[in-house]
Amino acid sequence: MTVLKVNGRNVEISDRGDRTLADALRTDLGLIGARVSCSEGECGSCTILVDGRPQTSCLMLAQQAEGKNIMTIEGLAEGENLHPIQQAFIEEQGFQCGFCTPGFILSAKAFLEENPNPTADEVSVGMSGNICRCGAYPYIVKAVLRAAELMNAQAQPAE
Amino acid sequence: MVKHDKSLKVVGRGLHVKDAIEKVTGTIRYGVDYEVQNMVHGKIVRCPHPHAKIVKIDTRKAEEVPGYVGILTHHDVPQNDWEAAWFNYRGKVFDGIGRFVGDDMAAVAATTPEAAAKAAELVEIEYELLPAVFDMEEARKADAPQIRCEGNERDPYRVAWGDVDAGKVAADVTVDCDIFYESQQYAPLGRNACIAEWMGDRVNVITSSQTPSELRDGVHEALGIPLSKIRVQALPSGSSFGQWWSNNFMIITVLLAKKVGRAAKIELDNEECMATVKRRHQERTRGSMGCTKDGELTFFEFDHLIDNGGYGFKDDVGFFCVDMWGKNGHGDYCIHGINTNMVTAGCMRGVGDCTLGASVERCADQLAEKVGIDPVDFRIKNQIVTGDELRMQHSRHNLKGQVDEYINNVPEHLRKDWPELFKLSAGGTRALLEKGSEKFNWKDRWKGWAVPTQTEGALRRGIGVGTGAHVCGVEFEGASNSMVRMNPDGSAKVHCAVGRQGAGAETTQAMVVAEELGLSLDQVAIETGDTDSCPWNHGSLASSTMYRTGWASREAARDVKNQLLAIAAREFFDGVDPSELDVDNGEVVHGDPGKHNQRVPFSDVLNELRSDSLGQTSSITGSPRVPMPPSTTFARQFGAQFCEVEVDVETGQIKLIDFLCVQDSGTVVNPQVLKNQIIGAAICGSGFAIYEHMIFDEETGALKNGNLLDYKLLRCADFPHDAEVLFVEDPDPVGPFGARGAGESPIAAGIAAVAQAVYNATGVWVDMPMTPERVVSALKAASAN
Amino acid sequence: MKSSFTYQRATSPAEAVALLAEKGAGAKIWAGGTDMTLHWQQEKTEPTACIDIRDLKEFDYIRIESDAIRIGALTSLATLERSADQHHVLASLSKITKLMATPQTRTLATVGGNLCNASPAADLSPAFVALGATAKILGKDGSREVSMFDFFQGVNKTALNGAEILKEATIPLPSDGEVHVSYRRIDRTVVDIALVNGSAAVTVGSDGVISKVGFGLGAVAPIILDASDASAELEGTALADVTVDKLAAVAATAAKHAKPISDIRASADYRQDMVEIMLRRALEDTIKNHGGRI
Repeated sequence: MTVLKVNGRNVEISDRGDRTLADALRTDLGLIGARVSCSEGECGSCTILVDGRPQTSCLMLAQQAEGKNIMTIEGLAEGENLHPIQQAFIEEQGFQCGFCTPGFILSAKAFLEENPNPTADEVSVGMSGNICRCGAYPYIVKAVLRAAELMNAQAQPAE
Repeated sequence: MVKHDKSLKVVGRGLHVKDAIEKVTGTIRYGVDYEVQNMVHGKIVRCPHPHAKIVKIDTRKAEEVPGYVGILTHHDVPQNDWEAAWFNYRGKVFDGIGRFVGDDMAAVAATTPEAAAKAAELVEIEYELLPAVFDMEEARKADAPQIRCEGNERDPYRVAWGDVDAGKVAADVTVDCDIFYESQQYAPLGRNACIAEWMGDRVNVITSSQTPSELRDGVHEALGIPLSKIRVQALPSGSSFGQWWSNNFMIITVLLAKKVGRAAKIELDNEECMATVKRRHQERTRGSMGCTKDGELTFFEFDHLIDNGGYGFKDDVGFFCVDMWGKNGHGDYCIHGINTNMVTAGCMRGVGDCTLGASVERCADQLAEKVGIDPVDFRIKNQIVTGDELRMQHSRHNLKGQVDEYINNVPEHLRKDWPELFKLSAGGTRALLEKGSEKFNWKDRWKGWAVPTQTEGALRRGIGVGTGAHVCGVEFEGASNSMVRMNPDGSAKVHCAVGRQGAGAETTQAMVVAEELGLSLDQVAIETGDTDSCPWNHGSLASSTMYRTGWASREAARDVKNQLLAIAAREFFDGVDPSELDVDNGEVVHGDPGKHNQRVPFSDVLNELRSDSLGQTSSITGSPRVPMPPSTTFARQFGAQFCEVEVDVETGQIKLIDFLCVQDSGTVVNPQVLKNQIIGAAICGSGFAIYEHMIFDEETGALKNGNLLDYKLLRCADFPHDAEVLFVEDPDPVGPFGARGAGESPIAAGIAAVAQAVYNATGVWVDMPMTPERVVSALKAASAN
Repeated sequence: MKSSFTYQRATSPAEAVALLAEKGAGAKIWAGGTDMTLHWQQEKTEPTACIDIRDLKEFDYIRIESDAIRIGALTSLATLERSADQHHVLASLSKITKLMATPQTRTLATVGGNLCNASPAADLSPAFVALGATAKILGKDGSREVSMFDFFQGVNKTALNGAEILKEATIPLPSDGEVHVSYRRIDRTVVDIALVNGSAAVTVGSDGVISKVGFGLGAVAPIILDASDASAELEGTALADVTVDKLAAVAATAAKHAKPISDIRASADYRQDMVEIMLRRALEDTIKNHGGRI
């Protein structure tokens, strides 16, 4: 068995080599928030964070993830307390059908960690590794900008 | 124009959608996310040839695969035709003939998806090859290979009025067109899967679908079993746009499960979703339009071909662009639906209005240029306004006759408030164009036809405007129904089988009911997928959800309210006439608090009906009590869009710089939801205009770009993030609280706007999609002339 | 059907090479593995053994030396993307990297992996060829170097023999003056494979005279072309004497080497026309970056 660290906990998966991480997350671990669509790294639906950086789990073998910290959308909220990015996506309705949403939110998390005060243009480019077929892009940009505000406000020490 | 009612408490607010938390936490489940215990996995065996007949099936090698369970072939399948909505599919589940590369020929079941895939590969089918035809024009010829027993071509669908020859004589200028449209692919994110589980002689079908009732009908037709034995549980469908209605693979799953005696799941992979299910038709418009030197259209005449692929059976598209431009006195347009040995084509968002509509818009623009009128003014001059006649009544199908028949069955007192039929009942493009050009600053930015707004090196910028219209649901396939149940605690649940495709129906239908019942949105839950609890509904298609189902949901809520008030009047308000009572914030109140100042919670009213002997509390169930007027004859939605593009005239690359969408969908029930849908349509339309097209192998008709690497979808940075949506709310006399349909006019408007902007930037009209290479070719051709 | 394969992680370069030799033809190196995983799923390749070299930290570096910039094969595209402030050539490569795949793929994908995939439409390769870079290769019997031009042998084919791995891409820096490189491509949406591309690298000596010109032409042949005979048309010209027309003429000469094919992304004719425009624009960029006024 191979041990992966997913959403802060150790989990075991089979040590089969010829298997994508997306498949292991969905099938073995029931983490269906890692959506699989294109299986070729184009759509970004299966985006997860590996050591805090975004990756498409369809282009990564499960074994490659051993020893890394993996976060899926299921690990983002703390209980019922949504992460500010999730909150912002609801406020600005940065989605329609919702299929691409977990991928966008995790891409946004990595993006905002590197660029906490982005311009709308930067967000637009930064969110281009994911596809939203419903075309919620302008609202996704607004959501990420709103998330930046919420996160920066949270980061301010209380006066 | 009537402004919408300010007393509305729920309708008109940008409330968060009901499934928002599920969506941002990734817990929402689509078809692919379900399984049932002990199920087998199915894999479809696909036809490698464009047209072929099965001679022999040899399963010996497949049977050797560990985990193999069984196979379903045409020998196991009842030879009944089944039909999807609007003739998007008509045929048998399998009949031993493959009609396109990738067609469904058989299905294998195994204990794992891998084993099923392997076994499917090892099924050996011997085929007799049949001649194939891919080109619509070839397929029309008498000696063409015949794809269907009904022949390759449908009877022409013709709409004609006035006298086109007289219109030609009256024209000072005319333009001709011959435009070919490639197929757009739904290109859904997410795949689809279907699970079928038999319990005795009843079957439960779980899949992502926009049309749960239509799917139940399809299973009924294909298997010949009573509707009562079929339960469809439709799950959210992802970005569907018409793809996931009732699809053959779903019925294959039902039959496979029956054959192997176990629950079965078939999941389509991305390429199967793109190459084997459905697509927008390839289309071709030929025709002409003319106008006077003052810019008044005098006629139009179009002949339009649509290719249905193997199993599509449509003969009609594009009523609505014709209606929109139908002010002129002489028109004739004719649609020919033709089958080819290509993957089935069907309704994709804005069917007809994205293609025939774009042709009409282009011709109109060319006329406007010839007579020196700007495109906004030309549209205002020639497009219909409220009260104008809708031309579609003059059709071969004699819609007027059908409608008359329908009307004659409706008692007169029930139709006294109906709008005048065959006249536009509300809205139009004029206000959109006026408000939009002001916001876009059109008058200052417009430099004239084919004059760039800006030139720098090889870069040319141009602006464009486009308009689109579409129907708000169509009644001829059945009236969409809805049911509302009020629970003993005073909360309510709506049951309407419209599916969930991301357009917010699960929220906006509940908002309509909440408004009618005086409840908060939170108090109203909804079921949109289960045919066991929902009455028949056409589904979320033809932009009907808000208009027709929303009407039914409001009427059902009104019925609940009437029942509630009747009990309350009797039990709590001294037997007053119930019409003196009203609902407010979950309580029944009297219209004149001076007479009766008590407020009775709904739960108290319902508990008056409590049957103590059974220890149960009671609920109220409501349904529409009056017939819905035939909306096709008077209701339309309109979109006008303005954009700026930048074209690199050396490389042909197009960038979208600025976008403004103006929309008339009557009262806006949820502005947040609707804005998103309108922008999404502009993006999908822009994609169709500049990149999206299916590339087919010339020899086999097989799809060559069935993946998201080479089927290009716009991304975030490809579309201006500051694009805006403006609403013009002209309330509808029939739609719930004045709302109309929404999703299909804006895609048509966006396509026309981008095409015109590219023309204004470059001076050439480019056929869609306007890929870099096509732009360069068009420029080369123009400079060679 | 997708092939089945075993998975093994190499702990040293020597072990990676030894494993390659031991496991035979079906053994494939996974650096970031994005192309490998993709091709395996698309059944374009049928690996029987995956050798994951993610832990070879000794191959993950960007070093700027007086005569060269050394980029370790295991440097991720994301790292290269973030190296812009270290050197102006790295800034140009960073700009190219931003065009490559998605941010997610760039996290995992590596420079070495991208070069070893040897796609004729690759984005980094034309710049490496234009810059006259070399590939440092490690095998069982030690290391060797080949020019980046020779490294690419065909579609998905490199100069690596069965049991060799790529260690480094070395970009030479001029001893006198400065080199600037630019890359242009035709794409459709912001994430795309180049329909056609072109790169130019121009070195101007301290005397203000162009001393070296290199080209890289992509998606117009099975390999990246260097069109070396066009370089001479510009070499020896003073920066101050360069004109737009001159650059256009040089680009036209270079573009003659192209032998494009038609496929679903573009026709041969379009590629032929565009490669010239890409090269001309890339040349113009480099001249401007040198401070040339054109």
